[in-house]
Amino acid sequence: MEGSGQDDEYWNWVGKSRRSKLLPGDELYAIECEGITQGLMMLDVLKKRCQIESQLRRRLVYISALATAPWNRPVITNPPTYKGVGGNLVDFAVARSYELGYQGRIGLHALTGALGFYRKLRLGLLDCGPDPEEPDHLVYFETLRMDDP
Amino acid sequence: MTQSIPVKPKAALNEAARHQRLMELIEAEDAANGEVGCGRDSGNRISGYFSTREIALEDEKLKRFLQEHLGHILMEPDFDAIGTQIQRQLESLVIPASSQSLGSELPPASTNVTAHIPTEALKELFQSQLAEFCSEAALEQLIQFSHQIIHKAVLRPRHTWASPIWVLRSETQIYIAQAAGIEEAIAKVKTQHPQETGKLEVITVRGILAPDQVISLDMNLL
Repeated sequence: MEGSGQDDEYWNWVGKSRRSKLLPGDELYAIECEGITQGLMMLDVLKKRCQIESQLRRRLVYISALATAPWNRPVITNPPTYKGVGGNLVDFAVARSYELGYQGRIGLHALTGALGFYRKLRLGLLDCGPDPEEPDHLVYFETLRMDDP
Repeated sequence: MTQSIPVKPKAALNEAARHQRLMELIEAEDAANGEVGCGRDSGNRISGYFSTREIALEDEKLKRFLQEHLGHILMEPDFDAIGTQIQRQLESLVIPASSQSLGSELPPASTNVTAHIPTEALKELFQSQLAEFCSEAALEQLIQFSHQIIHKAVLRPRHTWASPIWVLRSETQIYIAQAAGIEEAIAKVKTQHPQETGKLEVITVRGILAPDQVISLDMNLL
């Protein structure tokens, strides 16, 4: 991919990220198949808090970054090698949130092309609109739990 | 540095349920033509993000500092927002020039920015943690940026914002209600539209990330 000009010519960030130092609360996960990384996700389980009023400042698992390998993205490789990589990573973030006692709450800023994905995930993610504090004004999604005391 | 994801997320999840969930995930991915990215755009920007990940202000220390100086005006959610923005600005200052669009430019300078925290105190805090990563000029930029966003927060603290606006959908109607929480929004709809007895689904909410946000609805969602 390198030099191809595609978005993912820097897929080797996988290697870089594995060598990078992480901050407290950062967790890095990968889905691998046949020894090859198919998708990568960075979570922040400590520093971010809920923004929706009814659950303001409760803890959540924030997905700092999520990406799938170029060969799993139809825009670059059609048909993709594997489908479901991104969805499984998000489901794992929810599972991690339950594990930490955060009631499955997650938060994330979706890239523009991925809005349809997060809206259809059936995880109770609420579209909170473009975040003016984000440099690219990405849309913020957060799990809305209505059954909290 | 990566951690293992358990092969079996839940033993109790039977094969049929797992298959169904996988189909849902694929359907969701197909809805976005396989684009699932979040957090940072892909490409060199994300590589820069990871390569500079270790350069950060200590979150708790920063919030304690803000609390000390601004605790009489602002509250925790304001400190969260200020901390996030300072951190992002720091990232953009230290990430290589190829990723300038991440937001390294300062917001338009305002002529009426009051320094609510002494510049010396800010400088001391930043220098103690960032001196080895940032040039003097970058630190100055960060201080200037911090004064601007703190001033903005002081002018309009979060607790003074109007209640959020909720957009709800029933089988036949769209409702827009202003309320502190979703339960209150639903209650308002049911009270003012007693004929509405069906299930209400929340489509979107505005006014929790910033005050006075315009609501824009994707026609495909309606």
